[in-house]
Formats: sequence, structure tokens, C-alpha cells
Amino acid sequence: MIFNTHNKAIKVNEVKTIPPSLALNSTTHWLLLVSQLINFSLIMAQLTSWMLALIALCLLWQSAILAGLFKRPVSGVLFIIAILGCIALAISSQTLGLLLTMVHLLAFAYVLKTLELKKRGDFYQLILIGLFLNASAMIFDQSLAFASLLIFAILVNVSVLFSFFLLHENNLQDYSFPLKGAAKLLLQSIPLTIILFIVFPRLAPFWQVPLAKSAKTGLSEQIAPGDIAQLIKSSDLVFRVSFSNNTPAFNQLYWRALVLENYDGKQWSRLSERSVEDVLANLELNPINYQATQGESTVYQVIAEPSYQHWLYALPVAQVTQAQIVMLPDYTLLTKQPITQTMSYTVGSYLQTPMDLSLNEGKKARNLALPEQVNPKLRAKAQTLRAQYHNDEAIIQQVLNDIRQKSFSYTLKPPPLINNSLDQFYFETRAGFCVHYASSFTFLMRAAGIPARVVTGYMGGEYNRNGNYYSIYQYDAHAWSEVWLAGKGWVRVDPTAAVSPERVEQGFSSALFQQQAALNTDIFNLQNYRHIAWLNFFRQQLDALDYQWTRWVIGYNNKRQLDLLNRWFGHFSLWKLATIMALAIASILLWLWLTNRSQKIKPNYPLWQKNYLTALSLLADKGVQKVPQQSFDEFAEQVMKYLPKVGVSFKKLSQTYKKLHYQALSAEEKQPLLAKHRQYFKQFKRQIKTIKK
Amino acid sequence: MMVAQKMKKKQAQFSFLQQGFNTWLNKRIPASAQQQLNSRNLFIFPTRFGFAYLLFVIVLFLLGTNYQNNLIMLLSYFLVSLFISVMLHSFFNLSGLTLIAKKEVKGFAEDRVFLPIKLLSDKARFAITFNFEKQKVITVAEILPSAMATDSGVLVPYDTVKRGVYSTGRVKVASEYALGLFTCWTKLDFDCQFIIYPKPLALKLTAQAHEGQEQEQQGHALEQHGDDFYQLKTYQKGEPLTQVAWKQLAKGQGMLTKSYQSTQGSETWLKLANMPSSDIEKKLAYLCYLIQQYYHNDQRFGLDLYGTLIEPDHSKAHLEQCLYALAVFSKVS
Repeated sequence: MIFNTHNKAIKVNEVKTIPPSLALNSTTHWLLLVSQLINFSLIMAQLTSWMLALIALCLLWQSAILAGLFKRPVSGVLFIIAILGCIALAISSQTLGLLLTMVHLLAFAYVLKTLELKKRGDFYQLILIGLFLNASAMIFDQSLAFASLLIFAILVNVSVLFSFFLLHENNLQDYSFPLKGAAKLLLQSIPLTIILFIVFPRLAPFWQVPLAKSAKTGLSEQIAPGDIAQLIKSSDLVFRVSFSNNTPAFNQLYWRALVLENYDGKQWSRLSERSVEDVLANLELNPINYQATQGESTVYQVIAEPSYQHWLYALPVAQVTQAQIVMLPDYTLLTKQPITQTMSYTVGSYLQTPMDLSLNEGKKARNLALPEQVNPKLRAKAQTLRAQYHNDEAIIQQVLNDIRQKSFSYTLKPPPLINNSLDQFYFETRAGFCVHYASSFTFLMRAAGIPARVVTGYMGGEYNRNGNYYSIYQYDAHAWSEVWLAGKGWVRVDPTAAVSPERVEQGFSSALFQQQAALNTDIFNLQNYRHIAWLNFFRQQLDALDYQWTRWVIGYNNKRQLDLLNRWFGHFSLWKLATIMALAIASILLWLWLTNRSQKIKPNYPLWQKNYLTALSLLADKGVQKVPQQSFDEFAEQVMKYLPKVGVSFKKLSQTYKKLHYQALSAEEKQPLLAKHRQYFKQFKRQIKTIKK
Repeated sequence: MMVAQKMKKKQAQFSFLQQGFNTWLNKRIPASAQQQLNSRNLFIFPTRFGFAYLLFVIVLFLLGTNYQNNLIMLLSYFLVSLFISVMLHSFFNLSGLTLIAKKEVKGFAEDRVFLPIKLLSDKARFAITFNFEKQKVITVAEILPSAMATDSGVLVPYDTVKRGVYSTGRVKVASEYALGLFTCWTKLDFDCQFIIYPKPLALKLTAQAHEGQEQEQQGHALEQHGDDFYQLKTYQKGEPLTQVAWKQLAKGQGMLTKSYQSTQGSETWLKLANMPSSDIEKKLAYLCYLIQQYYHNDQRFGLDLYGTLIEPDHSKAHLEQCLYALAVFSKVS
């Protein structure tokens, strides 16, 4: 190529053939590995240990390839691994359930695909699978902390893709460059994301999807003395409540969840072991008639954490309007779908309204039933009481006085009972917590001929000053009794209040918290350090943040959207929504356009420079354009040749410009030159106006 | 029969469309050596990956809706927004770029020649590909933030087929920068002349070949590299080492070159008609090789293309003139 005389300034770029084979530069490759590590760590909690081991092995293999220790595997080997993995998955799919099997499959594909990146399409697929894995991780966890991790994960994923289009031949070793670029893209995309989130119509689910299956947490449908101890160990959040009006006193916060009416001598359980579907079908056949509500309602929003159960929490008598929630005859609430993700519902509670003023015979008999031959001592005591007092309320008072005065104690670590004997508790050990007291009390009542039942739920809650809401944790789990009194209906009696009044007045005492913390083995739980003031403050701040996130982002639904749009834009209509969206998108586009344009360097020229540039553009209008290679003098000559009318004045203008531009002049020297320059410019402008094209 | 006709019709239709597009393109983006990219000459369209990405976002939206999971929906909204931001970034990656191409490119047939394009930019730009239409090779360029001030450029490869002086059609300038979701592209006509000489075909300097080089000499024909040289000159840089007078150098007389009598006294005419082939293209190819050989050996030569004469000389301009004549030669003349 002797004749190809290249310009020296031009550097030779690499020549590629189409279609290019996929050759990831090492920056992209390492970033890809990092992004995979992050993606897997987010979904880790859902994966079985053998899958995690497999993934770890593949990632190690990949990094060994990257470091140059191994070669890429042949596709036959990968095929065998894929088949074996799928067989293993098929075998374990029974225990995993459909959703988790899918997640496993996705994770498996994600890690295998990396070992076989041949074409550009493979790389793109890998990125999309990675994003999908992130999305599926959100099915299982939606807390603010997790969401922040996800934002970071998505940033890294996008930067992998971004780095692919950078630095083809320039080995910029700096990993921060693609990260910065991706971060900029992310930030610019956020406004539109928010607008879409707020205004884009929310649709009902299109079809049934496999739900996340997990161990049920929280209260169970049966309870025996000693059972709640498991819950009390836990500091997990159960639900949060914010009152909009009439916040009740702390000792009124008895969150009912389950009503247990069956007693078999050992444990209390729900009415019968019917499934939720049966309960719902039964409800449709026999709709319940509630008492007319009395007084003003207390309105509050509950945001429940996933429990994988159907039971909801409310103060009696609760009224809800959400379609997926039903009210049961025992005044508890039930969702048609188990709570698999954070769920929010609004309740209006009529605290003054009595429950069941009249009780039919069947119900009465059920709430008086006791198995023969259990707890004979308690039964005898009940009969004595009944002989002593005719008044039901007097008997209740007498039992409560008994508990208060005799040496009963409230403890989270009670001595074990043989065969769940209530006799043993009431007459021998006399140490226990809510379930012991509620069981014994209810037993006594039934034995004395007063309809009674055990109610489980949560009591109290931690008030968060920053967010003005109550957090209810698992250790707030509580059991109490309800007795039926003629003319009053079901009345709540909490025998625990008799033995430990502070438990129901202020919640856990510090002594109880120490007991609780000793039972809790999770050292990372900030709940265990609530005695350290600043740490407690910090924990509450974080919790308030998480609450707002849950309330506004996780809890944002169709109804809230409608409320918000009505409030902002008046009556809702589809064309209004369309207009808002169109306007929003247009303004964001404009904003992006402007920010991108302003990237260009726009130096702040002094006037003399601006004048020269104006002159250039005026000349360009007349058809004489300066090419970058031309010198000032050459161009002036050209102007002289084609536009002789302005030739002289432009030449002078050009010369003064050159002097101002290139000569180091003192201020005194500059002044006359500037004046001249201005004068020439005026002259030039006057002359050029006279030229017709 | 019918099918063939239909095919033909379709092809005709297609080429008609193509032609229409080209006319429109010529009007919209006229030929010029200097081009600045802006919304007038840039086109933008999602890539296959872009469409796959959109489909993926819809799947995510369905997933989010079915699970009534706001976080997944938020992710799908975010990915849509990202799509739109990337569209703008993709456009601005090319918009504002000024390209200045060379007016002419010289090279040989069946060879890869390069069109140098200077890139002027006021900001960093990434992953810009350049290729001539219907060419299998592309070149990738980027302008880094550090290199903004200095000139950077690309060499756009072109695999030549035949000799001649022609323009090669448009250069496709494209970029999938940002995330590969969009391809922003334009087809620019730089109005560049490709001067393509015949592919040189080696011709051994045998007796047969010498028939082609009629030497106008008064006396006897001389062997080209005969021993009796005419005079010694001081060595000039660039002269072939084969002509260095090694004996004199060994004697310590300095570096001298032998100027042969043949290059001095006689005028060599390279005649197309005498090339040993019946194929005119092959004849031109041999001649192309000889011309270069003569130039390298610093011998004077003249060119005779069926009567079209170029007077003997040995300058570089002469060489280019001769090669140009070969490039544009057509039998009619």
C-alpha cells in the first residue's frame, strides 16, 4: 500500500468482520462475574444447598477460565451437566413446589449460560436472565433494605451491558467508568419510572400464579400451654398499624387473630379443622348478621408481613370493605389468599359495640364443653365458686383476685407441665405466661358454667414516634379469654393482666426484654440491643423509613392510585390519564434532551470572539464557509475573492481577531485594538447587509 | 415458469423500492466530503435485542401484575424508562459528530483500500462502526474524553474488485452505544473518488518479457543489469541496494551507486500491445507490475497504451500518471 498516504493524525482502528464473534473484554467479563455473584446472593435464601453448591462450583470454574487457568468447556460437557441438573430438579420439584422449581431452573440456566458465551445474542440473553432472577427475588422479599440491594444489583447488571459498548481497543482499566455511565443512565430513568408507577393503570391479576410456599409463621390454629414460647423468642415484625383517628390506649390494643373454642384436655384449637375453602363456602350459605355498630369507629391501616396464613389482625368489632377479606362469625378476619407478600388493609373498629348479644344453644354448648377426667382440681374449684356466687361477674372477679393474690408469677421460662396439666400449673408451679393463664381461666369459667373461649393474637406494640405508627413483633403474641355475659355479649378478660399488670399497660418490662433477648439467638437483630439508647434510636429511624416504603411503595394499590389521582387532577377519567402520561413522557424526553445537549462544551466567549463567530455565520449564509483546516488569512483571501464588497472590512476584522487571539497583550495595548475590532465589525455588518444572495 | 416470473417481478419491485430509497437518500443526505451528523441525517431504530428487551419488560409487567407485586412492576417501569433514556443517549452519541473524508483514495484491484475519515467531536463518543455498503468488513472507532481535543479518525476498509475510477457508494456509520437496544445510523456519501489500478501480476524478466520492452537504442541491446555501467554517483537514500557499488565501498571510496547505461542512454517504452496475454485485463496487470518495477529501479520509462503515449520519465508524478492511465483504460480508445 505504497500509495495510501495516511494522515499521521489518524490512528488505525481495528478491522472486524461481520458478524463479529463475541469477544468480551476483560473489564466486561469481570463485571459480569461480579454481577452474577450479586444476583445469586439476592436469591440465595430461596435456593437449596445442592443448587448453591453447583452454582458456586460453576462460578469458580468461570473465574478460573477468566484467570487463564482453564479452557472453556466443550458444549458436550455442559449438556451433560444441564441434563443432570434438570433430573435433580425434577426429583426435588415435589418438595420445592412450582414457584421454587422455576426459580431453581432460572438460576441454573443463568450460571450455565455463562460458560457458553459464543455469540452476542448469548450475552444479551444472559443479561436478561440475570434481570429476571432479580425480579423473581422480589417475590420473596420486598423490604426497603432488600430493595436497596436490588437497586445496586441492577446498577451492576446495567453496567455490564454498558461496558460491552466501551473501550474496544483502549484498555481503560478503570471499572468505575462503566459503573458511572450506568449510574447516569439509571438516574435519568428514575423520573419517568416514578411517574409511570404513580399513574400507569393498575390491573387485576390475569391468571393464577404459583404462590411462594414457605413455613407458616406466627400464631397457629392450636395452642397448648408453652406453645407461644416459640413465638416470644422471635423479634420478627408481624404487622404495623397507623391510626387515623381515635387512637386507643395501649391497654386496649388487643389484636385479635384467632378464636379457639375447642378444648381436648391438652390444647385449644379452632372450631373444627375445616379448610379455608370450607369456611368461605359456609359463609356464603349462612351470611352473618352483625350487631348494629355503636359509637364512632377507630380507623387504622394495617400492613401485615407475610405469614403464609389466612388470619388477619384487628381490634373488635372490625369492619373491612376490601373484597379479598371476609369477616367471620367469631369477629375475626380472614383473607381468601394466604398472605405471601406484604399486605395492607384498612379497618374501621367499633370498640364499644358488643359481640353476640344473644348466643344460640349450639354455640353456648360449644363454649361450655369440657372433656371428662381432666384437671379435676380446677373443676372442683369451679364448682365451689359456683356454689359461693350466683353472679357470673363475681366469679370472674374472684378468680382474678385469686391470681393476683396467690404467688403466681409471669415468666417466659416456665417450668414444664406434665401432660399439659392445668391443675399442675394452677396449684403447683404457678409460674407461666399468657397461655397458661388464659387456658386455666377459660377452663375454670367453663367448669363454672360460664361460656368462655381462648383468643390468640397480639397485645400492644411498639410506638414509633418518627412515623406515628405501632410495630407489632412476634414477641407481642398473646392469649386471653373471652367470656359471654348476658346483656354484654362476649367480654374480654385477660388473666395475665392480673399477674403482670405492666405487661398490658406498657408492654414488656426491661426484665422481660432481657429474658426475651436471652432466648433470641440472632445476634444481628437490633431488637436485642434496645437497651443501648443511640442504637435503639437508630433502629427506630430505620424502621420508620422501612414503614414509609412499605406504606407508599409496597402498599400502593388500585384504590390508593385512584384516591391520589382524584386528589391531584379531579375526577378520574381515562383520557385524562392518557394526557397526563403523554405530557409526563414528553416533558421527561425534553428534560433528557436538554441535559444531553448541555454536555457539549459551551465556552463563555468574550465579545470580540463572539463578533468574529457572528461574522463567520453571516458569511456562511452568503455561501462562503470556513473549513477547519483553513487559516484566518487564507479564509480572508477567499472572502476577498468571492465577496469583494465586504472583503476589506472582513480582512481587517480577521487581523485584529488574530492579534487578540494569539498575541500576549497588556490591558493598555488591548483597548485600542478592541475598539478597532468593534468598529470593523460594525462596518462589516453594514456592508454584508447590502449583499444580495 | 410462473414462479420464476413472479420472482422476477418481485425482484424488480424490490429494486424499484431500493432505487426510490436511494433517490430519497440522495436528496436528504447529499454527497459532501464534510458531513455533520444531526437529526436530519440520523436514523434510529430498536435492534433485535431492543425488541427482545421490550418483550421481556412486558413479561415482567405481567409477572408483577399477577403477583400484585409493586416492586416487580416498579422494575418493569424502570426498564421502560431506561429504554427511552438509552434511545436519546444512542442518538446523542452520533449527533454533532463531524466527519471529513479524503477526496480520493488510491489502491489496487482485489486489495483492501482504506478511506481515511477525520472525526471532529466536542465530546466523547463510543462504539461507532464504519463500513461501506455491501462490504463485509467494518471498523470500530471511539473518541475518548482524553482524546477529544486532538484529531482522531478512522480508516474505512473497502475490498476492491475491479480497476477503474469510481465512487463506492455510501459509508454506513452506525452505533449501538449505550446498551445495544437501539442502532443509530446514517449512510453518508463522501463524494470520494476511488482510483483503483489493476492488480499487479508478476512478470519474470525473461526473454519473453523483454519483448514487451522495446528499447529505442541506436546500438546493441544491453542486458539490463550488465556489468559495464556508465558512471558512479553518490548514494541517495532510497536507492535500491542492488545498485550499490560494493567494490568501491570495500575500497573505502564511500557509498556509490552504479547508473546503468541503459537507464541513461536509452528510452524504454512499455507497450500494452506487447504484454504476453490475450486478455486485456491481464495485459494491464502485467504492465502495472512492470511500471512499478521500473519505478523502483529508478529507470526511465514511457507508456504506450495502443497509441496513447506517456513520455518517458521516472518521477513519482509520472508513476501515478501511468497507473492512472491503466486504471481508466478502456479498449475503445
